[in-house]
Amino acid sequence: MTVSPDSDLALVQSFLDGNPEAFDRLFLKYQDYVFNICLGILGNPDDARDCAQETFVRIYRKAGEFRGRAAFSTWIYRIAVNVCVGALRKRPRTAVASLEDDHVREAPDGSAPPWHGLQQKDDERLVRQVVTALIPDYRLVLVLRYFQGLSYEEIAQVLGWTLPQVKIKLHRARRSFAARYAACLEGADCAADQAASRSP
Amino acid sequence: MKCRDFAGAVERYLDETLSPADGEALRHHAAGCPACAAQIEALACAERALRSVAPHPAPPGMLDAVYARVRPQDRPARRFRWGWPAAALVPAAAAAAFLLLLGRGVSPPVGERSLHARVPALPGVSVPLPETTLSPPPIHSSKTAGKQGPHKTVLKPQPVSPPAPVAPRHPLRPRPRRPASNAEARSAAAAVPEENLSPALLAALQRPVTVVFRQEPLRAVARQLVEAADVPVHVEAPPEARVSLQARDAPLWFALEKMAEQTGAVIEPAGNGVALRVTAPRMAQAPPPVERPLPAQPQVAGQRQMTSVGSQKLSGRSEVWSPRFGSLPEKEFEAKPSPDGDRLILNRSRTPAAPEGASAEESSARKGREPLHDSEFTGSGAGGMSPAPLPDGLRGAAAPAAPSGNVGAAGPPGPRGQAALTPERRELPGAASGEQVPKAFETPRAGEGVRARIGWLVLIRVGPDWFGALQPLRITDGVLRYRLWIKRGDGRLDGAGASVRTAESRSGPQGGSIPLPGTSRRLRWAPGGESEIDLFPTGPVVTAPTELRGVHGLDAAASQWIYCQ
Repeated sequence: MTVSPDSDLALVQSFLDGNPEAFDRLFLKYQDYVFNICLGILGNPDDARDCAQETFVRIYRKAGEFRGRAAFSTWIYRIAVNVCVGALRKRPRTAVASLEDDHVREAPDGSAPPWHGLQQKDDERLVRQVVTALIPDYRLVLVLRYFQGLSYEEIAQVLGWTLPQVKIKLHRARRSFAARYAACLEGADCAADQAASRSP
Repeated sequence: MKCRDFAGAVERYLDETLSPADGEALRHHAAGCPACAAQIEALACAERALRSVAPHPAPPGMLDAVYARVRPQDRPARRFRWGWPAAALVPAAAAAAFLLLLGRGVSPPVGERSLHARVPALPGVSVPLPETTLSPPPIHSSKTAGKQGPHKTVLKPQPVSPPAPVAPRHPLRPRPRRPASNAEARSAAAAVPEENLSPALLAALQRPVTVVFRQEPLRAVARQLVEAADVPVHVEAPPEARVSLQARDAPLWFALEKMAEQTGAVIEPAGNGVALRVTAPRMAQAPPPVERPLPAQPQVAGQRQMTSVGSQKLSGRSEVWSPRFGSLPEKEFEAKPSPDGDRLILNRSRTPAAPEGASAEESSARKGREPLHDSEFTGSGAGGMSPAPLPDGLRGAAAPAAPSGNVGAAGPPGPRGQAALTPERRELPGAASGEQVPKAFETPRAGEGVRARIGWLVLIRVGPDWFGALQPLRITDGVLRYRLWIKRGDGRLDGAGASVRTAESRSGPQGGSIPLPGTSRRLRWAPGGESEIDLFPTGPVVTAPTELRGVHGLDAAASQWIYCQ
């Protein structure tokens, strides 16, 4: 089998042979993919960055375990998903309810935001908000299917599910998303459900 | 098509796998069934929305962060796939090699002979020694010459001296790098000329000192060090040799090293004390450091650039003599014998230790990725963080006097409080205009109170992975208005992502309470002096006052704050 020097497998082999530039190239190739997986699942750019970093740290450490049976991208996706699911499990349930104090109340702050964050469109932000409010399994399939454009078979490989499982989950996820999205478009508080669905 | 068939067909319709005939049937059914029409409309709308989400580019700096988290030994090795014949040969080969070694006496090859531990391995330091200083291997064989027979061999390892005392690690200071290899650890351990030093001097050099010098003559500084550490310090330096130094409970050798760094002095043991000899004063040539105030609120959120800052370490080399360098951050040392040959002079290189086995190009490339962990070594006009916190009392950005209220034991006024009050800031050589590196601040232990000034950030750390900053905005009628940033992760508060909120907290009989979102922890606070508040961290919450007004580039985890104007 001929392996292109720029193929993932060749880069992994080069990295295992001690060439750090190969890891850099793999990173540059997949950083956006990994970050967007994490962003889609977690819904928070900062958490996504953390998890993307963790994903690449694991890739760095465990590259020797990649056997080439599946595509390298699938392997990376799987690591990223596992990292994100782990992050979801670690999230405290009280993450957004700590200001409920008799002596503390939030104050209006008309000053400029302390930093320039990501400039997202409102509708895109709404979509991400609704996706983040879904249960984790629905999040995973929607993110992989729509944000990453994976096929059913690839989703099954990444998540370790069977193909029928993927179809069923995606079917339910679509309907759940559609119902919530329609409700949000009609003015419901989309962020209200997020806290309840933080933990898988 | 009936309604029960419609649901299954919709899925295929959304996946665009529906046949044209089925698609026509679906549309025909939807035209006559309002419920199914609404269903497919909602699903199609959701489908469009989901497909409209554009991917975001990954934030910059991730690769640096990844490299900051991995160590050279984390790099996986290629897996060897041994067949069974090879696997069977391994024990046999090992046994044969063992017997061969016993028969010939245990002696490593000449090229690898070196560096057996007279002192224990010290982390993070690599001291290559000249071949002439290498001692023979400490394991001897009692085998008599001319006689063969491994059964008569007795191995006698040499005794190993006790481990060196390890300075307590600063809670926010990065963990010192472990030796990349046993060889490195051995090489680090073998270069300490302990026989030149008296125990009294060794103890004195480890003694913590708390001093603040600002462009003071070296002679005056030495006199104060004598009082602070109770050790003779002899100075041979021209009067123009001046130093700026700020040390809080830092070991004396640390202060001496900083002085040598600034003045070009050579530090040598002299009896029960030390001598600083300045041969080429550099202070007279360098302009005195100018403390530039930070902007009240940076206008542009600067991306934390480890690479740019990390590559702008101070140039120049100084001859540094140190009896114990195990607690130094990772550095490369070059050892050479002194002119009189009775001691070892260590030249500290500014280049971070390269990963084991790394090529020169890789070392050079990786150099820019090294996080700036050794902040205490980056500023010539700055003292270091102390390895141990102040013993008790209030620490704060403005704590010159005893605090009011139940802050605990009153903190010592004067230099200690002043040291925390005025962290050194200096421009890095070659840095972009306005880029400054504030020094790391002392962080008290959990439970200790801090006094913070209104408008200035207080660094917050909750447990191992929650970081934040509190900015008291004003106090009106017992109500504190504050802004709080907090996030879980690596400590960087720049960019989007951290939870930020402005809130008001009313002070009750027990003081006020500031909840820390996401952590189920809170800070207690009470009005302090004028335009000040006292904060009382509890449990795993630690705080540190700063002189920063914004969080741009704030890295709470590394205690390294980088401002980009």
